[in-house]
Amino acid sequence: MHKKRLLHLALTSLLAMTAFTASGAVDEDFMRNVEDTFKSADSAIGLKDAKTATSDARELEKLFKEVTDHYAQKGDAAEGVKLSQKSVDLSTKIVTTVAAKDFDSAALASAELGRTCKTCHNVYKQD
Amino acid sequence: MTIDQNARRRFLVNAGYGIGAYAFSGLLPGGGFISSVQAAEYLDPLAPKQPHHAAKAKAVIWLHMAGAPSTLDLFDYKPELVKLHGQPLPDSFSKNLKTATDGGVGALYATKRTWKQYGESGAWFSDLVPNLAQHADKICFLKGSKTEGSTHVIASLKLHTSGLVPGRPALGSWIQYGLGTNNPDLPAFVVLANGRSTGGGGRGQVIWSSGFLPAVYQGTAFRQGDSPILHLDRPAGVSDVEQRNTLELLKNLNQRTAARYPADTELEARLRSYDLAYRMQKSAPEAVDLSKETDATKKLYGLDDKSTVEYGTNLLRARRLIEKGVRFVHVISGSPDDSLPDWDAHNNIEKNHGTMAKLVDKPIAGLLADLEARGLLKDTLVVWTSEFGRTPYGQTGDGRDHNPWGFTSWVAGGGIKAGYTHGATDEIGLRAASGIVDTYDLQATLLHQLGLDHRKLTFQYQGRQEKATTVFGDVVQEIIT
Repeated sequence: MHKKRLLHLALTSLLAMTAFTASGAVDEDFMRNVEDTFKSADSAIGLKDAKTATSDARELEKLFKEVTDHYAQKGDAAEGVKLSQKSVDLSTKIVTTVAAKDFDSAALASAELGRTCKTCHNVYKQD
Repeated sequence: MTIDQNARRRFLVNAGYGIGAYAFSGLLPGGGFISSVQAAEYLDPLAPKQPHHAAKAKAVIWLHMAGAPSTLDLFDYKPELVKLHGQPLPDSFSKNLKTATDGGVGALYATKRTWKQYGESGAWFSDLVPNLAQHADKICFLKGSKTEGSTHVIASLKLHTSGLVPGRPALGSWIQYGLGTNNPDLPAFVVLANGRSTGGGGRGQVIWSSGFLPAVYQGTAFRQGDSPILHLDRPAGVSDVEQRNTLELLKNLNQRTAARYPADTELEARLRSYDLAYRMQKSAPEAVDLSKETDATKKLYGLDDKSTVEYGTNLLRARRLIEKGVRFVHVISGSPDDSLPDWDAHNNIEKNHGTMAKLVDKPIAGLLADLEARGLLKDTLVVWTSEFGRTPYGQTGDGRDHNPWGFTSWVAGGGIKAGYTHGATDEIGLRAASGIVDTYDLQATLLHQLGLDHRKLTFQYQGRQEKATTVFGDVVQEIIT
C-alpha cells in the first residue's frame, strides 16, 4: 500500500513536471524554432519539395499544439488558444494539400499561417 | 592590337540594354524568380524585366528618418497624453510591455507643440512641420505602424531588409532584382545621405546591402559634391583617349577568355561593370548637377537656407535621379552637426526635433510640390518612415525612449490614397491599436504598387527559397486607390 502511494505520488509529480516543462518551454527560443521551421516549410512548398514540406508541417503541428497547451494552462488567453489551434489546423492543411500535390493551396495555407502568427504576435508577443 | 571602334560601340550598346548575352535562367544564381515573372532570359542581371502585374508606380523615394523621430510631436496628436502629463504610465497601457533600453519607464510626457488641422483631409500637424502641413491632402498616414526590436540596429535592419540580423537584401535590391534597370547608365538603387552619421544614422551599409542577392543589386552611395561616386573619376594625368584605349585592351583580352568560357557569368559581369563605370563618369555627375535647375526650384527645396541646403540638395538630386529612370532612391537624414545624434532624442527633444524637423520640413514639402508639378508624383512612391517611433513616457526629464509598438509612417503618390489616414495608436500613442501595419506589410504594399508580388519575388539561397518579406507581410489594400 505504501509503495502504491509512493508510486502514485511519483507519477503525479512527473505529470505535473511534464506539464510545467511543456508550458515553460514556450519561450523566445521555442518561438524562434517555430519561425525557422515555418520558413523552411514555406520555402519547401515554393520549391515543391513535398518531403521537406510535409516533415516541417508535421513538426509545426506538434509545436503549435504545445503553444495551444501553453495558452490553455496560462488562462485568460482565449485568443491565444484560438490562434494557436488555428495554426495547428493550417499546418495540418499544409500536410494534406502537399500530399495531394496541390502546392498552390499549400502556399495559400502557408500565407494564412503567416497572418495568424502576426495576429497572435500583435496580442501576445512582448517586443 | 587593332582597336575596332565599331565593335566597341556595339558592345556598349549591347551591354547597356542587355541584349548581348542570352542565357538560360538556370545559369543565373537564384534564378527561380526569372521564370516566375516571365523575365527575358538575359544573362545581364540588370536587364529590364516584366512585372508580375500592372504597376501603378515606377520609382520609390524612401525618406529614412534615421534615429527615429517622435511622431507624437509631429503627426499623432494625443490630447489624452497632454491631460495625463507627469503621471506614471497606467497599468492598463503597460501590460506585456517589455522595455529593452536603459531608460526605464518615466512619467508620461506631453508634447510641447501646438497643433492644427490642415487640408480637406483635416490631418493634424504640429508646428514643427509647417511646410509639410501644406501638403496634407497628398499624404496617406499609416498611424498604426509597428515593428520589432527596440534597438536601432535591429529595427533598422528589419525596416529595410525584413531581417533582424545582417545578411538579407534591402528592399531597393529586391526591386532591382525584380524589375532590372530603367537606365543602363546609372545605378538603379542610389543612396543619398547628409551630414553626420551618414552611414544610415550610424547603422551603416547593411541597410542598403544586396545581402544574399548578387552584389550587382546593392545600393550605390552617392557623395555630396560634383563627384558623386568615389573613385569614379578618371585619374589625374590620364587622358580620355588613354582611358578608352586601356578599357578597349581589357575588353579584348576579357572577351577572348570569355569566348573560351561562355558560362562564366563573373567575367561577363566584370566586362559590363567596366563599361558601366565608364559611362557613369559622364552620366552620374550630370544626374546630380543642379546648375540647370532654376532658382525657384532650388528655393523650393530650401537650397537658399544654410539649415536645409544639404538635405534639400539630396532631395532635388533624388527627383533628378528618378526622372532619369533610377528605381529606388534611399535618402537618409543625418544630423547637421556634432551637437545632435540624428533624430535619436533621448534627451532635450525640443532642441533635437527643432533642428531635425527644420532640416527636413521645407525640402520634403518642396519635393512633394515639385513631383506633382512635373507629373511625377502619380507614379513615384514617396515613403517617410523610421526604424521605430518614440514613447509617450519621458526619459531623462526632457527626452523620449524608443517605441517599436506604435508610431506613424506615411506614403504619398504612386497610386496610394491621398489625404487619407489608415490606423491609429491608443489614446496616449504607445501602441498601434487599429489598422496595424508592420514593416513587412509596408514593403509588400510598395512592391505591389511597383507590379511585384511579394510572395512570388523569390531567390534561392543555400537551398532555401527566400522571399522579399520572408514568410510575413500583406498588401495593405485599404490604402490603394
